[in-house]
Amino acid sequence: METFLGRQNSAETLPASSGGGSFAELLDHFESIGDSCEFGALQKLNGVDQMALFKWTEVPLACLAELIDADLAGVDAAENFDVRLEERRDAPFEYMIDHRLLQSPMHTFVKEGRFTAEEVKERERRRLAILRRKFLEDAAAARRIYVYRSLAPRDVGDVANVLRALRRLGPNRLLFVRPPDAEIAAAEVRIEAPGFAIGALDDLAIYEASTAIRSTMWPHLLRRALAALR
Amino acid sequence: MPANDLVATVRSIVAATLGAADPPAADARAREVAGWDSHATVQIIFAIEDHFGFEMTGEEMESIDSVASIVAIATRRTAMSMPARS
Repeated sequence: METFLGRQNSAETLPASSGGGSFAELLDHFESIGDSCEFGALQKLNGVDQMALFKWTEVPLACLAELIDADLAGVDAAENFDVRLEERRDAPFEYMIDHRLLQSPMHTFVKEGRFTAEEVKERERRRLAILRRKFLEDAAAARRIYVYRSLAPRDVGDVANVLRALRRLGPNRLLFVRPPDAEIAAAEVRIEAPGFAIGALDDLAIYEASTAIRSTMWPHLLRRALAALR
Repeated sequence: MPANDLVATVRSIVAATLGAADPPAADARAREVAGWDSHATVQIIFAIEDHFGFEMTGEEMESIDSVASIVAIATRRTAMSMPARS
């Protein structure tokens, strides 16, 4: 048995094995593109730490589609983001990015003291350039299934538009994870269109604590999604 | 560059990027080295690209999980850029 929710959560456990491989192997078939840090955090808690541009961002859907349509042009341009120090109550201050194109704050995971703000900005410009390059190559190769999870209601057409942008680059697939309702039951995965699946999960992480994973159904949902989208 | 020098260079770049006092062992895996997460890997990639003068592909970036994996990339790329012997 494996605790996949991490130490800060409850002691709920699930089988480590998830459809012929470890949970980490299952998680590595997917890559987060928002709408919060939840899926990236779930991966990291389980030993999967991908170099992924959007995993720690909250980019609005329309913006995400536009950016991908434009091959992420300008994402790594210094004039499009600012660096600031964010106060933390119980930890050293962290440099954060406010990105005008991504319309989202981003972590740098650089604490105050080791580098100046100018040095952090140049490091982040280089980092974004590499992550942009990698995202475009990965999308062209359709290396992973993209995951967009949202606790807030989203128009399915807006999510599908992100997939349309991704499929311009390569034969990509997208799993849209949302809360269950009358149309889709918890843990159900439904194919909406070629390469596009919708899945439902109880207990998606709340936005105020997006790295505190609450749902125990992620392994079941991902296994089903992987089978459906193969 | 001789193989031993290349390994030493990669170890030194990884240590400098991580702010570590000592270079990681030649057989160190990322998950065993304090502070070597995906964020650090990106910093290591651009330090390696700057030092050796090539741009990694997405597939090469994806393969990085240890000192040896970076050495393998640098070895292959530097060999490709060497002029053929007449």
